[in-house]
Amino acid sequence: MPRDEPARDEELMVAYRDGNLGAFEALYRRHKGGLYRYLLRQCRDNAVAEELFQDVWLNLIRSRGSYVVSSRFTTYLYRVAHNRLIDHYRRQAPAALVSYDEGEGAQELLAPRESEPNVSYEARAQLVRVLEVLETLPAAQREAFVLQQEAGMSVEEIAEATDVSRETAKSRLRYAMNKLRAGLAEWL
Amino acid sequence: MALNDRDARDVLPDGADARIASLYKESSRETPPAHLDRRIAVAARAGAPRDLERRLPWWTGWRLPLAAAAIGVVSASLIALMLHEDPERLASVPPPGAPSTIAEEPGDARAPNVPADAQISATPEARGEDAPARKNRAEPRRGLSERRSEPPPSDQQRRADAQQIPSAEKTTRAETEPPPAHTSAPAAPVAQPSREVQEQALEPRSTVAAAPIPAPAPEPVPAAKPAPREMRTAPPSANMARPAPPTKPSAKMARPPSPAPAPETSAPPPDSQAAVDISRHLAELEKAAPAAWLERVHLLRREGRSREAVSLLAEFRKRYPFEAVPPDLQ
Repeated sequence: MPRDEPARDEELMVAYRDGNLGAFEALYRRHKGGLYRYLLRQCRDNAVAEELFQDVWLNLIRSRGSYVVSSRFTTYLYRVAHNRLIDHYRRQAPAALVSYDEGEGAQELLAPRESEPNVSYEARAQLVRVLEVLETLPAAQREAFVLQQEAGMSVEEIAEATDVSRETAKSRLRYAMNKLRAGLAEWL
Repeated sequence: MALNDRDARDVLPDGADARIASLYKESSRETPPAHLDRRIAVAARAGAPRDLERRLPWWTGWRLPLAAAAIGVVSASLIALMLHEDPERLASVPPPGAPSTIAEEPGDARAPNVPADAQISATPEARGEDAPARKNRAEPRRGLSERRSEPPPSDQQRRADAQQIPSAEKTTRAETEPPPAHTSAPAAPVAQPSREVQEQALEPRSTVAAAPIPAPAPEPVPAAKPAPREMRTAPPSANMARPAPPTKPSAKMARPPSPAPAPETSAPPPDSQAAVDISRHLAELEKAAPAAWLERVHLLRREGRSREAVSLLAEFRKRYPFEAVPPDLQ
């Protein structure tokens, strides 16, 4: 691979599969934030998000020997995370699954980040409002939006990662954007 | 953003959605805690050596079984090759658990019916035999195995044997009706013969030594009871382990050398005294030249000991099948 061009995720994963630990570190640095936020947005609990985050990476480490490049690494990683989330929902309460598929989701809001003094009050209010509106979305729509924003996935990749059809993924994404647009209309 | 054009039209139709995305990016900056980073890094390092081991070639796990199988195949091939090429050599080697002494040989006449004291006294030391006598007993065994590989006797020799048979029968049938030769020797303990006869029965079972041994059994013995001759002339395990070569039928292998049957099957069973004399002659003539044998036969004839002379001549023919016999002795 050229030196000035960053290695693709798939190449890094293959290198790690072959024993290159540095490749894993690069891969982890690339994806740890997006994956963590994805889990945090979905489960809305820091402790649970940390546990799921660790499980996803450990699962990746354990199963790296069988890794083959069949799609983008991001799709592979978030599919593992999605499955782990579904397991978590099933263990917690069956109602959570209903909420994931068609419910409105919890209305609990994340606390505003008041620890950032350089951010103005209005700006902080905007950021808090974005997360508030996002929290109001159904889990499936929220997931589609977060996957698009955090992992940069296309509709097809979202559909593959969440194991739904392309039309379903596209519909979820459209609903999510419409609700966000409505909720943030004063700042748009 | 990895959306294609159509998705972009559907999902992000205007700048409002871009603004939403920008706001989300600004608001969403959480990162996993440092302790999680360390834990995952440790797990990744710990998993690396195991994965490297797991990625060894697939056949590395089969190295030991494959090596064992290869050793087995090579060993079996070597044994089969040896059996095919040189079965005689293998047949002459006794199996590890086979008895090494004559007294322990299977099918020995002493086996079940001879009392223990007779077995003890049957040892050469107890019988007072000297070393040459013991050597004489072992010599026919070696001579038999050597003769097995010799070419069959000529027609002249066969005719000579055939002429010898009727004369021997004439001299012996007048006294007792001899049982078949291959059952005579083992039948001795069944009929509970005298101690002297038991000692005779303990003599080595070979085509050479069997001829002068008397067959004192007065009643016929079932053929299945005594050990067959082929079991005595060749070790049983050797017979079983040796495949029949195509050039040597098994019947021929089990049969004694060609000149042996005639004198053995129809040899006159002399009385025990004659047998002792024959043994003595054999011991004395063990290392003698063929001419000395013929001279001894002449001497016996002159002394009127015709049965001993016939037996000794038969023994001479077995030992020296290619030596010419003077016409007066024939």
